[in-house]
Amino acid sequence: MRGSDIEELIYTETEKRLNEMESKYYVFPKRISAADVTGIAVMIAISLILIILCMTGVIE
Amino acid sequence: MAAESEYVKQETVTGAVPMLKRDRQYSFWDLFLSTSGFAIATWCYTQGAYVAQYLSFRQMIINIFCFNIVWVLIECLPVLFAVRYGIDLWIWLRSVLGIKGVAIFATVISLANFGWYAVDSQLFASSMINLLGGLGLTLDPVIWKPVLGVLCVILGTMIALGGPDVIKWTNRFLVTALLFVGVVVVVLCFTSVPLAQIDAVKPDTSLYATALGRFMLSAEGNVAFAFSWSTQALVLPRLARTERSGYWATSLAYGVVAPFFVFAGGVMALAMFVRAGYYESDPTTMLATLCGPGFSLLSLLMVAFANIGTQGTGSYVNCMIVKSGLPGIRYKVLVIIAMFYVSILTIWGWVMENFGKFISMAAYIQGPIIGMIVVDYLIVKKRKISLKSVYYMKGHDAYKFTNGFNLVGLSCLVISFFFTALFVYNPVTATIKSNIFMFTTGSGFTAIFGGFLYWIASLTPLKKYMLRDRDDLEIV
Repeated sequence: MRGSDIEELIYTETEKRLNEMESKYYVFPKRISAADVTGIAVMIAISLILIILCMTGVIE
Repeated sequence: MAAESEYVKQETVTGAVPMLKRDRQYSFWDLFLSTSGFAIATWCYTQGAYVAQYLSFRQMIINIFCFNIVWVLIECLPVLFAVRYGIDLWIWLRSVLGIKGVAIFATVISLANFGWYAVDSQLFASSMINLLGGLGLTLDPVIWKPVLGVLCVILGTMIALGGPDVIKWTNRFLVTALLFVGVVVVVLCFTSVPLAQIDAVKPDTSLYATALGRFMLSAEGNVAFAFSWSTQALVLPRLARTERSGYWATSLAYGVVAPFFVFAGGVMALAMFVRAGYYESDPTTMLATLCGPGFSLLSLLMVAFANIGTQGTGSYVNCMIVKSGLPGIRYKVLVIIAMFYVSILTIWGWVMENFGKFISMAAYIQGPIIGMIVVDYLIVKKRKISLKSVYYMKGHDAYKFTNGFNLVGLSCLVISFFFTALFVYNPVTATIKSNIFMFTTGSGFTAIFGGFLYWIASLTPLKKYMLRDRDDLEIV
């Protein structure tokens, strides 16, 4: 296949897939939950507290 | 026709075409093990040995794990759109930097990222020479270092040519074994040198006069280490089936597993200092000294297989990044070009000799991109993008910007880079320019400042230039 054929093929396939995603029957992957967001926040908070304890010399 | 459908299939898993839900191949464990396999390599021990010299044992643990966890959890937030739409970071970045901006920066970042794989193969070569030396077979490093280094690149290329399925199966076995060996090595270190003696090691104060300065200079290395994954982190999660599995598999691999091996390197270096009076970063030498020559065979698994696995996954991921900017080039052609490029870097050796400067300089480009993409995804675009514009479908041109360059995004990147280098921390000379460094590190500041500038721009009349897609959100 030549370069222009490849680009045309990629364009056509991309268009087909985007149309499928646009259809009301397409089911997107399941979203993350509030529990996940809480988990992220807790892990960042604990890490920052430990970093601050080191920076202030509480943990030597 | 069969050739065409085969090509389409290839372009889905090794190209820039969006992945639909039915294409997804990776469960949580597949993604976690593949990403961990990518992250675990000898550079972890190099990083750990560096940090171990300048910090107390407790501060070393916190420095390694906490800075990595904070930044990896933040930089992995865009994984959520990668999973939802089946696209890579660099496809979304077309809306932040413009298509030509992405073509340039995706290539530049990948050329820089491949420097890591040159380091990877050089560490493989030196460890193999040490290992064989311990077994009585002396090899001349001048001849064998480049030969073994290139061998590592070639073996990794064979894995990359196999694509995600080969990577998945390679890592299923490899990473399970590596995690086991990592735990065994840490236990062996604590057995051969008591924890109390490791804890009593006084840090080297030559790096900086104050304890805070040493802590933050070590943190600069760990933040740059965390950033090094960022521009490569979203290729594999496209293959995940849910946002939860995609996010946690990626962030735990880069934020916990990779730092665990950095920690293992730190523990080995400290144990070596107690036992032999000097710091060492080569696991082969460390294990032979601490536990006897027989145990250095463990490093065959730690170094040989880990570095070849990393070489393979890294080649796949970075060739995918280049394809985001230059989609017309065939994946296999890119992998072969990458093989020659990394082989040349390996034989040249410049990256290895300037490792500290190299990772900080790379982080200074990756930092602003992290800041901008998180702000763009969560605040500016509110998690919605025009997929048809991002793929330049006919009649959808919300992201054309100025001749293919988003001047606002590119300006934020360039300003962050130079402002931080001039006024916060210069990565080339490794000099601290202001006390801001003591709060954010240099690399961390590039991300904070890049995101801040991008957010401020979105509050000005520039918003019209940045957000032309709000009437074109057909897929959400």
